[in-house]
Amino acid sequence: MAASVVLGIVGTGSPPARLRLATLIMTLVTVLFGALLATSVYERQTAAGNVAEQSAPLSADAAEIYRSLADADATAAVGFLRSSEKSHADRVAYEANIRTASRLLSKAAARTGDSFAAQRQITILNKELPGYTALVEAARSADRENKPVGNSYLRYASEQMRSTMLPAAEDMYHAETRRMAAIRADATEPPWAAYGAGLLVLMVIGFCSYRLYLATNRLLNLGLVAAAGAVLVSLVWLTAGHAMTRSSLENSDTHGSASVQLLTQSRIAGLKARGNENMALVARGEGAAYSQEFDYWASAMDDKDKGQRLMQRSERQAEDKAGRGLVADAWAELKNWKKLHNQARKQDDGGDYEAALARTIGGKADGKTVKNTTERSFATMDRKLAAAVDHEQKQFQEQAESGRGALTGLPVGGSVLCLLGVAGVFLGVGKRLSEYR
Amino acid sequence: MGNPGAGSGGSARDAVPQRDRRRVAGGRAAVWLAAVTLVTVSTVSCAASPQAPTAGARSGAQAGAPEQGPRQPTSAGGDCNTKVSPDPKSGSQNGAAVKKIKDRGKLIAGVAQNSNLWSHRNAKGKLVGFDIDLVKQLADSLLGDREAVEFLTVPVDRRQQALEHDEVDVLVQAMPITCRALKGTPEEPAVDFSSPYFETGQRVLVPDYSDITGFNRTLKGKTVCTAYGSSGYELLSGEGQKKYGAWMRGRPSVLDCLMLLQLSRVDAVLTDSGLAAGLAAQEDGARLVGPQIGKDSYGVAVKHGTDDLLRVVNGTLEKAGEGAWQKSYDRWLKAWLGPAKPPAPQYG
Repeated sequence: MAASVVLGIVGTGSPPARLRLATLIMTLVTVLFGALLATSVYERQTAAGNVAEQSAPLSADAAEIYRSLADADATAAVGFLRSSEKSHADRVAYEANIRTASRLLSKAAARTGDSFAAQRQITILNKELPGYTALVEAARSADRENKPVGNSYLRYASEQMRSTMLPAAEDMYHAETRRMAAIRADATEPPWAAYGAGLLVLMVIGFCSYRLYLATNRLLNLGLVAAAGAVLVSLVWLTAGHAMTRSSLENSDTHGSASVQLLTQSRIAGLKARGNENMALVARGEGAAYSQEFDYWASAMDDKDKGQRLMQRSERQAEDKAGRGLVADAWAELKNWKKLHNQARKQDDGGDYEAALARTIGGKADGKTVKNTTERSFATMDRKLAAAVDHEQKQFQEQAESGRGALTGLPVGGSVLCLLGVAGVFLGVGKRLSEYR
Repeated sequence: MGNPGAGSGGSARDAVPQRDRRRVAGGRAAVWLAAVTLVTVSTVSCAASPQAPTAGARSGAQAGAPEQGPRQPTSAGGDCNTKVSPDPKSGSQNGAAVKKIKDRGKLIAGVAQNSNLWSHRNAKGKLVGFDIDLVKQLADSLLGDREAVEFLTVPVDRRQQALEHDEVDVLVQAMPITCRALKGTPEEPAVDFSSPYFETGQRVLVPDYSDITGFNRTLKGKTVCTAYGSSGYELLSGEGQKKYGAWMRGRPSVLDCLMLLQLSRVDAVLTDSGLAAGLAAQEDGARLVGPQIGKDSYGVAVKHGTDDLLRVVNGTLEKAGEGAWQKSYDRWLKAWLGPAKPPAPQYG
């Protein structure tokens, strides 16, 4: 609208003045288009880079905090079940989990400046972690002195972990995941302003060409045609680049990020089930609630009646054959684990604590060493799931990188094309202007 | 062991104690309402399967739930005559139940595994304690061999079912003789009890430095911990709060109360003397104060209707009263509870 008003005014001056004004306007809109193109592409490039380089690692860190806390809960319990001389490895694993969690927490606290939700959860976790470890240490030292009260300490510690810390870690993980989704949405948003400016340029050049045609009766002004061509090429380039970025990032979401999330959920559900399996034995005959909770988490991973079926969904979501294979292996091991768990449960409920213990963490029952333990099954499953997470993470990185790659060269190339367009305008109109001298 | 560092952990969000910390002023009804709600809520959450465990609050509540199902206040089953155990000389000591044990050549005993001084695992993983000694005496009089025992550590919430389904022959679990257990409930089949083998009542356990002198006015303004559904819970929520102005804090297990005492989150623990001795034995810096309040008795439980077995058990208890009981008591309990004599037989 504004342009036609201006052109209306232009129409009232002398021909050279009108031509000069038309040049000015065409130059201005072309430069405007170039600037919009460059900035919007640059913004999307930055956002796509953020997805790959900043937000994804943050979300992976949050997942790792969540995972290592659930793991610490499970390993603290299993160390408690084993006699102290044999529990060295459990202790090392427990401490590694706590160290990982606290290292990542301080890292996250330093980095997540802009996410209030995540910051709040980090504060909670930082506050609770020392209390939790103190309770676990108290449990251990009471146990070394063969005092049953150690049992209460461990259950209390586990209660704190489940009621406060794990929910906080889960919220933090979700906050980071949401943030990643928001940044991804920024990167995939169509550059409407640049599209609009491009069309405006074409319309203005078209209008001027038409007026020139009326004035000179020459059908084509080569300079203006070249200018329109340059703008058209950069528009097509922009559209194609954006479409490719979008499809890569959406791919990275469905096949990378979403399956990483599903697998992470499966892994954590597995750890929670394992923790409950151990705590049911720690509770020594009073672990009914823990075994119910085991059933809940185990069926969250795979139970056709409950509709959750994390394993099945992970398998369907996996990008390629290798990924599907890993999930299928983990799934098979889960079934084996559940079978062994049910055996151990039956033994414990029947009062045969020793057999249940041997079935769960290994050792001797009825004179025979039990090799096929739930511990082994669980460890295998967890390893497979971890490998699957790695695999999907790699897919995700590749997709996110290629999403950014699709825009490479576009800001510079687009600007150059626009400059060419401006040159075309000057050349084309300049030729007409020279006819008035 | 009292670890102040751990204190930063959880006091603020522990929903249970806050609900429990009601004062006399709030009125008796409020207290009972809170208690009933607690018991109902946790029993329901325990029974009504884990449909939607997502948030953590739930896990916390559930993790503590299992113990309280069976342990209702003693009077919950109404009044009844608990002195109904048959005299050993009143009839056959060799019926079907006894014959089955003899044919098997082994006594299957349901015991606890985490009850200090009564039945718990020592450093080598072997079960030891006052209850275990008694089981061995039973095996001796049934089979002539103290070691002819298979110990099964049946969960508290299904121990009566274990008897009913013949998974165990006897329950020796520091189990109070209650009308509730004698009559049974929809979930828990009725059982029969032997004559009492241990007399107990509520005692107060405090840290050495405490100025609490017993279940009396020195409890004013102090927080006292006790197990849900125990006689101590009833005593504390009634007299303890109303008359003496104590605050109360309930936990699923009295072992948890010892932990809270060690963490300085409560000032005293109220529980029966048998369990209190087991707690005091784990903490050098604590002592039992004041006289015993009320009266409870532990008995050996057998399947309802197996009088022949009950007569053997009662006969064993009579015989144990001549020396074995004393020896076992002196070994496990005397240091904490002072000298005592075996309870007199009570037959119906």
